[in-house]
Amino acid sequence: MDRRVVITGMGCISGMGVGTGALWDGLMLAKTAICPVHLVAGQHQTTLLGVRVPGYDPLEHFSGDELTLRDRYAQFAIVCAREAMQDAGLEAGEHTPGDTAVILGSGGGGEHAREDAAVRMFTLGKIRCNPLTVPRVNNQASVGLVCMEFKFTGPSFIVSTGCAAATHAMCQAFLLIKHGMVTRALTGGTEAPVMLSVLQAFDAAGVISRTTCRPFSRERDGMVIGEGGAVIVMEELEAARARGAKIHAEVCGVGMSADASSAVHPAERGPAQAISMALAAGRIHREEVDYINAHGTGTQVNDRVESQAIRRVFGHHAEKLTVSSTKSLHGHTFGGAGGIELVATVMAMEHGVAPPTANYLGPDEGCDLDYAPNTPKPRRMDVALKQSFAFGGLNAVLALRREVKA
Amino acid sequence: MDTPGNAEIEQVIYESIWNVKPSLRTLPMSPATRLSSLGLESIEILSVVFEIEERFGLSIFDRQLDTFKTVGEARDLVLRLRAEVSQSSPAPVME
Repeated sequence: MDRRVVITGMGCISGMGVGTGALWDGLMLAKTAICPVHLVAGQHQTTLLGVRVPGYDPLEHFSGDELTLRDRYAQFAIVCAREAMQDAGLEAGEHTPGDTAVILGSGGGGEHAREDAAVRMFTLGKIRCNPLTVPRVNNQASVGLVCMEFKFTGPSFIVSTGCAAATHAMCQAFLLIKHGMVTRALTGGTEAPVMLSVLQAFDAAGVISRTTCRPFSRERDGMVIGEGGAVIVMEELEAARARGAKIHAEVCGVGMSADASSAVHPAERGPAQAISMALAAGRIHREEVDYINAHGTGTQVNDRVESQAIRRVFGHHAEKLTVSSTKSLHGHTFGGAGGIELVATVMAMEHGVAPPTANYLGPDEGCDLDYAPNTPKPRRMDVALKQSFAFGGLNAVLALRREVKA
Repeated sequence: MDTPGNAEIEQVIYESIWNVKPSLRTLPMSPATRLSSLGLESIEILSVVFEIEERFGLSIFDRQLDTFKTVGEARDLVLRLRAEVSQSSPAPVME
């Protein structure tokens, strides 16, 4: 039996605020959430560009008791999962706990607890660690906590492929449902990396912008790190139909690949291979694709290589695509990025409007596609791709259809 | 430095518990309160011990973790360890 996979629920937290509605409103306003953030750890402090979730108060979502064990990225996962479950119309008792997988992405896990422990040990000279450090830091805490929240007991794990983690996680969830291991999955990813040690590390690598994030644009000078993520409810089509679920989109196929070339520089071949694999798996002809939500970090190399990879796969049809990077608006949330951007992609198809690439100043050498510069672009989008690429040359792509075809 | 009295030490122990589990602020506690009666997970009890260590500058974890069951016993342990520390430390030089 050919099992098909659909998206029936979405939850999101981003630089635009809490919720998918806040994300969409922010994208349509095209007003970037990027701003200088002041960061303090131990005796060090600095100010760099970043994106925090505006108005997020943990105590609006969790009790004080719960917060002692929940680092910020794990809080985000639960907040997103609650919204996604509500959006999917799934209440307790309407699903079989063992038949639901929880597959999330996160690059760094509980980074705040890790930094606190490092400050305590190496700045304050205290050798004894807070006992809560381990349960807060571990990368899989978000998955375990989401399972506990909803009493899910199906296959559950974290995927930690940095900037591609959420997209890789969604690929795994798709495959588990497709191959009949589970009926539905909560998937996506979250990250909370806006902190001194993380931003300093990426700044030292020369990839943090001094101006703003302007993907594919001339004068682009790097990425801006943000926090947030998303959780998606994926579901087997017939099970979704049987309970009368609202269907946002169909996940038709996924593609994954490795560049096998450089620890930091992306290569054109790897992303192109992953895109081609997703199209083939989804039985999608390249001329059917309307929109690509790009990885689009705003670094010199990524945006040029990504544009070339798109040209390599799509040939002349590349001229007809709309390709945009919403990282220009909500920043790069690493292991959460693919989740936020998948929500943006699905909502773009639903509304018939491609979100813009903000802060765009004009074409650059090697970046010569339609990037929906600066303002949302109305267009019908029946088929779209969400693609993510991680350091180490690890690539993941999801292919979506707006409507479930017979 | 003033030596804290029993009530003061008990108060610090209560605050250590509340810091780990804020909802327990509403629960009446006394020196007879057993930590095992507070619904704390093992990791949370370790965190309470960690908080007490932090606030008094003592090391309980390595040697004394199993020697107290109640708030009062924790208070007595703090008093004993503080006395050991002051005996083993050289007398302050008066200038």
